[in-house]
Amino acid sequence: MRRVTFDGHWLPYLLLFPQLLILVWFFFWPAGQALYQAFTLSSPFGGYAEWVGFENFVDMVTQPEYHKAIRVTVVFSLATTALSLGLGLLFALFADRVLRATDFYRTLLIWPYAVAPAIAGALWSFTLDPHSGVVAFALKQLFNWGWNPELSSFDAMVLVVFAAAWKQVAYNFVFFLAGLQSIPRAVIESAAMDGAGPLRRVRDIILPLLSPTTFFLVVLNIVYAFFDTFGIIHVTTGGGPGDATTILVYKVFQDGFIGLDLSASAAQSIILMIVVMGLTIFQFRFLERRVHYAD
Amino acid sequence: MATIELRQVRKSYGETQVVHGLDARFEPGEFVVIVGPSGCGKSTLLRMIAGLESITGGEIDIAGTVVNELAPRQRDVAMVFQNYALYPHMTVFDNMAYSLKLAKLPKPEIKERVGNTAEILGLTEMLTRRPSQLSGGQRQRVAMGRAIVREPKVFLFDEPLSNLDATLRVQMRVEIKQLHRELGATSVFVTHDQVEAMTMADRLVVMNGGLVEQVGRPVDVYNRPATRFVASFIGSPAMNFLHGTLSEHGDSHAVILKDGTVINTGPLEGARDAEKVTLGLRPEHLRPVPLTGAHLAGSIVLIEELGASRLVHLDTANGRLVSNVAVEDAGDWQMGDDIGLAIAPKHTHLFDRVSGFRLDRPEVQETATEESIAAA
Repeated sequence: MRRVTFDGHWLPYLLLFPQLLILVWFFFWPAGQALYQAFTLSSPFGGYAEWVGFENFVDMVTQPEYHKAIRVTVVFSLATTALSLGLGLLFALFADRVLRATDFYRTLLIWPYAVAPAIAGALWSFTLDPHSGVVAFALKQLFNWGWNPELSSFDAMVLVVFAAAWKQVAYNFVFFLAGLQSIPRAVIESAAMDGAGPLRRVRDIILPLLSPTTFFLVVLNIVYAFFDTFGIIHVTTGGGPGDATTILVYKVFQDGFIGLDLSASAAQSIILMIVVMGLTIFQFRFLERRVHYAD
Repeated sequence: MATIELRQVRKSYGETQVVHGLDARFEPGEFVVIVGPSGCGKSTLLRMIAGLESITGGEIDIAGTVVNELAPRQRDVAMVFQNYALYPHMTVFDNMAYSLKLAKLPKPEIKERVGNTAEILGLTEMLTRRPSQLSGGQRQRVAMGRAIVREPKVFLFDEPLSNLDATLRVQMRVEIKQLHRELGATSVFVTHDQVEAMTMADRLVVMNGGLVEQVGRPVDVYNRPATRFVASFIGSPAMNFLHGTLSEHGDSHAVILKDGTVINTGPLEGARDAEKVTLGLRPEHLRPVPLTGAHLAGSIVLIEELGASRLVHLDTANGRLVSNVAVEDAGDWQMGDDIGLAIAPKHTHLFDRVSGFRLDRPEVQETATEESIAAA
């Protein structure tokens, strides 16, 4: 292939400038600030900072509240990933069997992805509201279950998991459906001829052949649950009751902007940055060495 | 060993009907080849027998059981697909063992059966490999092994050789035929390749446009094509067709071509005087003769060299003709040379121009009857 080269140096830099400006202004500068603050102790109102080394980190890891937040994050992200992947796969398997109006169903199923997290949170707050929500009423009537996410930690966790997973189902559905449609029809028919019923075919043929897609989505969904669910939690439970739904990202916000402990908040941000970098490297590595089934 | 019976089998997709009321009966142990151009419904028919397509109307009966409502796995049939359809994530062994595992056979028996099948097909060395590590021919063997290992009542083949190169295709053709002789299970083989069809079939089913045009032994289909379509589809190079009008000469008949040439056809059954007909002449039956005494004459426009014979293309007053001339009969011809051709009456094929049906000779039918008596 012919490579396009530039005579001087000013044009490529000029073309890169807007992108670099955004990166530096909105990413590197705040990240640098966070790094600086993580190693200093500053007053809530600014103007004063003292170098404290790793003291903020030591405080953080010895705090029981931080351990709790880690546990909540693990439960929340695993539950959200499992639910959204499971439903996405289920819908994709159904949609794959539909012969007519596939595009119509696909479009319908993609819509939730276009909904902003805060709106999704509000929607689920209304639906699952203990006083006026449909679900609370139905649970009370049918099972005599006093559903109340404002008081019960478990109910609150269920609420945020549902709201977070609902938004992601659409995304997973699209990838799973594309994955399913790339499996040659004859391979599945061949399994049917060999004597495998529909469920057996899913287990023995479809799931193994979908594993590259699944792996990719697991990483993506964990990243989503870790970092992109702030809006949902903020609108629905606000991290409560107590700190039952305070995930790491939410704790960063609470400690920094509610508690005004900017240094502790910055130290937590650094940890999250390392986590996201780790996940990204993991994902890139995986994508390069992606399992490839040539036919 | 099982019979397969199709009774008024129909298939439609919405408004479009692709298979129109088919009737056929395949005998136990027979190797049946369904041949036809693409889109004639042959693959759909095969997939209906397999259970991969629903049956819109009529009945399919395998070994005395109507299978219309049965899932593929309940029919005890195995299928070899065009693009092999191997399980890419399983080894060759697992590919072949999958159906046996599903049938819950004990492990040692699975191992033995897969081992035996692999040996028949020369796959023993490859049992631990994945399909992606195999060549096209080897993959095709694994696909066959997967079918054989089950010992099914019926084998179905959906154009299994069309992805292979020419040499391999001829080789696999022979192997499949030999395997069939050893295993003896009823087999239905779908192809669009008429050479494959002729060479492999015990019985040939020629389909066109969702209808069966003719069922018969390959040699009968070749010698007495039932319709103009069958005549044009079976035989290579394809049959020449000329328009003409029938005339009666006492007991016998003849065709008068456009330019007045008269070709003797011998007596025909149910032929009407002055009926508009199509005269079919196979290239291999057109012999070169001196111009005086020739039935047809024309100038050479093209010669194709085949080694053992030559395809001579002629422009005649009645249209383009192709003759397949053995090398020893061929003269030292140049482009533009005029040559004459002769045809024996028994080698003429006549078809009604409107219906496309064959006008048959009585004596040919007698021979056929004698043959079938001898066969019985």
